[in-house]
Amino acid sequence: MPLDHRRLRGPEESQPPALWAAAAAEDEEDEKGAGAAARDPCALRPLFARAGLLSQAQGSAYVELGSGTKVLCAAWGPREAAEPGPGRLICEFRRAPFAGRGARGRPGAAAEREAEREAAAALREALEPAVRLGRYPRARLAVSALLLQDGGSALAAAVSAAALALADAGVEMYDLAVGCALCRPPAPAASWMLQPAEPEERRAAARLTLALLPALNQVSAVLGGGRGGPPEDWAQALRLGLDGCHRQYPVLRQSLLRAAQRRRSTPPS
Amino acid sequence: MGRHTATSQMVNAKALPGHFPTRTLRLKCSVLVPFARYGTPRLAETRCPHNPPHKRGPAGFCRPARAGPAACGTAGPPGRAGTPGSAPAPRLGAGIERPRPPPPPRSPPGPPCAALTRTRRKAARAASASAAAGRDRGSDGSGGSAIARGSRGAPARRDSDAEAAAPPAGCRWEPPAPPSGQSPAAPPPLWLPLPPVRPRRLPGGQAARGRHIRGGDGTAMAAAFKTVEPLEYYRRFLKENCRPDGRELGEFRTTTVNIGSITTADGSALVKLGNTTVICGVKAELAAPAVDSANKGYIVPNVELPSLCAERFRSGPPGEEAQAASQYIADVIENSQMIVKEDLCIANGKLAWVLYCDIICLDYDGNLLDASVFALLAALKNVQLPLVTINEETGLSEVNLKQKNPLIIRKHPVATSFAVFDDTLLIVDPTAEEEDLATGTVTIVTDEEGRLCSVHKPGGSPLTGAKLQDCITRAITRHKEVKKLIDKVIKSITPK
Repeated sequence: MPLDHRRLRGPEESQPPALWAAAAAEDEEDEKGAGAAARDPCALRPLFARAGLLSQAQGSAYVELGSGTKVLCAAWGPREAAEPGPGRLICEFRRAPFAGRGARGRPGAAAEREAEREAAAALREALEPAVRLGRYPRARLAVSALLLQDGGSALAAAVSAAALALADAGVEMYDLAVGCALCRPPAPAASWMLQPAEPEERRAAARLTLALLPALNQVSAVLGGGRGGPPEDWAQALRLGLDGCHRQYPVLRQSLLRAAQRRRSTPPS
Repeated sequence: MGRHTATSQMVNAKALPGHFPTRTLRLKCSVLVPFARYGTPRLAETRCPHNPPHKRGPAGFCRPARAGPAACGTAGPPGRAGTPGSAPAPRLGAGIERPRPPPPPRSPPGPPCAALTRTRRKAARAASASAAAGRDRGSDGSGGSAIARGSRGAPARRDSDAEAAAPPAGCRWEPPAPPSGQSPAAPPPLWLPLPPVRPRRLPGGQAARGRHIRGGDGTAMAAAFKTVEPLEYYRRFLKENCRPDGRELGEFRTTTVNIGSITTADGSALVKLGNTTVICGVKAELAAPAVDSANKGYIVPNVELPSLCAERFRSGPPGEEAQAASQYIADVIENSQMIVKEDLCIANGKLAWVLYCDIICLDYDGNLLDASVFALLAALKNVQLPLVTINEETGLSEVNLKQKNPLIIRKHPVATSFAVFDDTLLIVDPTAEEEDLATGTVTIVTDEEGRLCSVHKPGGSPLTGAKLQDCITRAITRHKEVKKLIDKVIKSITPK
């Protein structure tokens, strides 16, 4: 691995202790897995959303899912871009090194950067239809998401947080983009589950992330793949995901309203 | 007549504490253009840059006795119409490269300064450039030596604009100190005994008096003043021994700490120091110790300043500030012996713990180092390491995830940062704006026995030994506050 001169170096290689405890841990997880089959596949985890919490960014949002996924997102309104043409949305997605349950993600590694770039592209795909880029010619809108803890459905939570942050920054949007993730366990006749937790996602045979603009009822992004079964199953999964998005929408709207009220009540310093 | 009235008004104004906005208003009602030239006088030497120089206004600025836009030639740069005083250029004392003219002999009041031609002014400036360069740092007042201040964020001055303006009429000026030669022992006070000033007619009527201004005109004026002259704005507050957010000079912002929120990490802590938010996550992994230190584990701190914490940080590899902060945290751990690396060794030469401490700043509002050290300490106290034993027969390690022990933390270092203003004033826990205006910073790390672990003073203005001693005393007090907070938070989660 090439030396990263900008960061302090530890040992060349290190393994998480969970590897050595692998045997005992897997037994536990299988038990938990069997227990989780009784989970309602259409149940949404508790969602906590709050907008307007960072002081240095124009708009910000924090979304936390019940399974432990914590995403913080900041957005900046239109800034002048050098190149002419319509407005552009620039997204960035970062995982904190301590976000994953297994090994610590090395921040400068190529694999990490690749994953982050893919996630950023996915985020952009999901958000672009929601933002009125035509209103900002020759401008750059920046969105930066930071994943603090990955408890499953990280990208979906990031999409919701990014849309909230853009709205909080005052960027004109057609609608909020709400993200929802699904997964299908490897069992042959298993059904799709909404908002999987991290172990479920890890063992899933197929994963799907949806982004929806609920008020317009338009899907802005469908990402994922795997061994899902016949196409009717996929259509069923899509419908389930859209339903999940619709159910999350009121919570996100409420958080925006509260943020606006908070901003109004505290006078600008 | 008008002069006497002006004096009495001025005296009344002076009697009210923290009265700067009215003075500001008075100042602002003067011309847009000369305002650009006022510049923030350095405390050591306050001098009027114009030739002949203006009389000292009530705010310590040079201001024309009477002037109208017409008398001063061209108006300010276009697009600056709007609130008076929000004009031409936010001029900070520091970082201005304009050389000041040498103090001319006292000119009698009255001769219209507009008579001074541009060429004469330019010649005067050229002459002063060499003089300014020759001035030593200690006595620095204006111009040349101000370059070395290193105060960040000072927008570049547009000298052309200043030159385009003509100094207004009726200037009188008292020279504070000779240019070469000995520097003044103590900086002259900003509020010099001032010549009478004619009251100005304010465009929007008189604003409210007092420090807390409500209502459109007053707040707008104060905000405009803050944009145009941030350093003077701050000086107004510092004179009253307080800061714009209402804190005392030695008071910290509200500190909040929350531990154990990130369950994927072995230990985590979120610290908020006012708006500055820092989260630290510690992950423990196993590795073979280095060949030359077979009985030591590793602690690898990593400070990240992602682009979401402040607009000036770009995404990508860590920049200068992040690298410097990481190195500083590593030094603090080493110097304070917070965690002894030998404690992290499991089997000599075979297996040792590696503690990856990732400190991510979520919101950058100044004082990153304090918050990072605090977050690191709280996160390390929260770490639970599983028990690892090495099976002698197989030589493999066995990890028992059920049984967890906390880390052995020997010392509890706490950092206290100070910002130095104008070489003299020390304020604790600077915000981002204060850091930009400061002329230097000091960070002191102490441990629980009141012993000094580290003093970090990266350049900046020089400090006397007495001031450093004050800093250390304040740092020791701060340590007690922080220790109480950490103990309280650890106690709250122990009965699991």
